[in-house]
Amino acid sequence: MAFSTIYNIFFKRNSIFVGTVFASSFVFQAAFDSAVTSWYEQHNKGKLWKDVKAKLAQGGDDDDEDDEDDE
Amino acid sequence: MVAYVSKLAAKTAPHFGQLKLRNLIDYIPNLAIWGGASLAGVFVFTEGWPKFQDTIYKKIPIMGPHWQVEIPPEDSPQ
Repeated sequence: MAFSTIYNIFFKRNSIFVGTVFASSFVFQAAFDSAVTSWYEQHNKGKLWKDVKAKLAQGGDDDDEDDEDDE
Repeated sequence: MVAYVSKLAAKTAPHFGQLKLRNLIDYIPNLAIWGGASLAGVFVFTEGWPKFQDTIYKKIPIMGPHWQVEIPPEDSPQ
């Protein structure tokens, strides 16, 4: 795409320029939030409350084993 | 004396200051796009507002699940 085409579509009218900025920022903030959240949850798998909660519901008293490891 | 009147047959177009009906009509497409841009701006700044999330953002086709966060009642402080 030539620069003149980009200019004519996005930059010629300020209303379209500002609208494009706002629309893309709305999409970006949701996409970025989703991406960071999914990376964080992948990175901390097993330490998150939802994983711990599932483990507690399944095993019950895992705390004793942890205490023994510490001692 | 002749019957015809010799004066300029010019009328002033209806106007409000410098703004005339004609150029107001010419501005309509641009003002409509500004309306769309403003709407996008409102979307950006109300993205975290629960009322807006429930009524609009959760219903957006592909991005909708981003706002559909379900917290189990026992984990919710309320």
